[in-house]
Amino acid sequence: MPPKRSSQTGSKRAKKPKIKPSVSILSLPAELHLLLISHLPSRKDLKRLCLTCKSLSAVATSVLYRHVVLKLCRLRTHLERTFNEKNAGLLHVRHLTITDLHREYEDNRHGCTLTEVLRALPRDVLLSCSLETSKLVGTEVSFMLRIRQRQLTNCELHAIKTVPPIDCIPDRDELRNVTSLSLYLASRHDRQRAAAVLLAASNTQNLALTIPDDGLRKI
Amino acid sequence: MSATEAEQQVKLVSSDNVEIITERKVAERSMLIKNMIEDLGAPGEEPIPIMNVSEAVLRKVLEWCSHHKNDPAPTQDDDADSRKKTTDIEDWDQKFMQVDQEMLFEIILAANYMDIKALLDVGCKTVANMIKGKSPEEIRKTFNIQNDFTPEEEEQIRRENEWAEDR
Repeated sequence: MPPKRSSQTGSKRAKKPKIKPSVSILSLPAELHLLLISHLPSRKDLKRLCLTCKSLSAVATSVLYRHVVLKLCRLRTHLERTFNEKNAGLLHVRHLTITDLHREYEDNRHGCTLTEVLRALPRDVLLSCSLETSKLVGTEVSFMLRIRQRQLTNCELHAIKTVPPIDCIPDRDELRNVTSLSLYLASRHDRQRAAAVLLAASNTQNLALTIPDDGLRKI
Repeated sequence: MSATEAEQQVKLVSSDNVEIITERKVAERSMLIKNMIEDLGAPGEEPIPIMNVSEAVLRKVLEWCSHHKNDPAPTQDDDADSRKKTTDIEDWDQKFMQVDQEMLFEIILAANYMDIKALLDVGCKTVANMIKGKSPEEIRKTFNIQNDFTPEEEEQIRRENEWAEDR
């Protein structure tokens, strides 16, 4: 137990202890804590370290959150418990994996929750994102990712079709960040949405348009 | 390094002002000392101050260096990956690390200061092994850490980190 400092007035003795304070795990600098923790690959151990004390918790949290893996079926609970503003761990997320998508994604509820999770994630933190699915990923989801995560270099999304309805983009201003756009036009309705998105995404430098064979007639 | 250089002796001075004479080859496991010797030019004459390390710790560190003096120099690329994946420690090192906690952390600090990567690794692995599989309370007990969380904060962290399962 570390010695308690008494706050008696006028005692100069307490000011400079002659005996060197004993060296303990907490006297190591944060960089060495990080090195220590790098030898603990198990999430279980990291989670437990997060509960020991504040200074070890801070370092363990930063490592634990580097790769966040969420199960789609538990997403609602995770959204409520993990993705709150106070959770400092979220700033450390670099890789996000959502598993079990194939089983559940048909249910659109999950698509909405996923969008909310992405909205709650701080901006520009992700380096990679993997949505393990064989089914369609909602366009809102892919758009949220592109708009909010500008460092994202490796993104595995499957079968992204049309641009999302412009209303589901939370803040139209965010479209200004977009530099690459890929639009799929299959109907007149798509054309109208695309026009709205293009207007808002004024910094677009790369534009890819895909029009299916029979699309020209329709639009 | 030529044969004569390897047999050379160097003089180290600990933080508590004790001179320790050792083989140059042993001392040069420490990149700090190696660089200092290169900068000083005339090893053996000028004593080398190891400012942050006390005699007891310095002797312990040199004991390790002496056992490992013929190890191949670490290469750049086995740095990040292979080092970290395993917490296996060779037998001699394991015995070497059977010291009280204060000494253990002093060795780690000294290895960091003296820039001896392999020793730093052994030290960190030893501590990691002391953490593995323990509950938060057991970890606190092991390292004499005081719980500075309120029960509410603890509960909050528990909930936030619920997602993290081992796969």
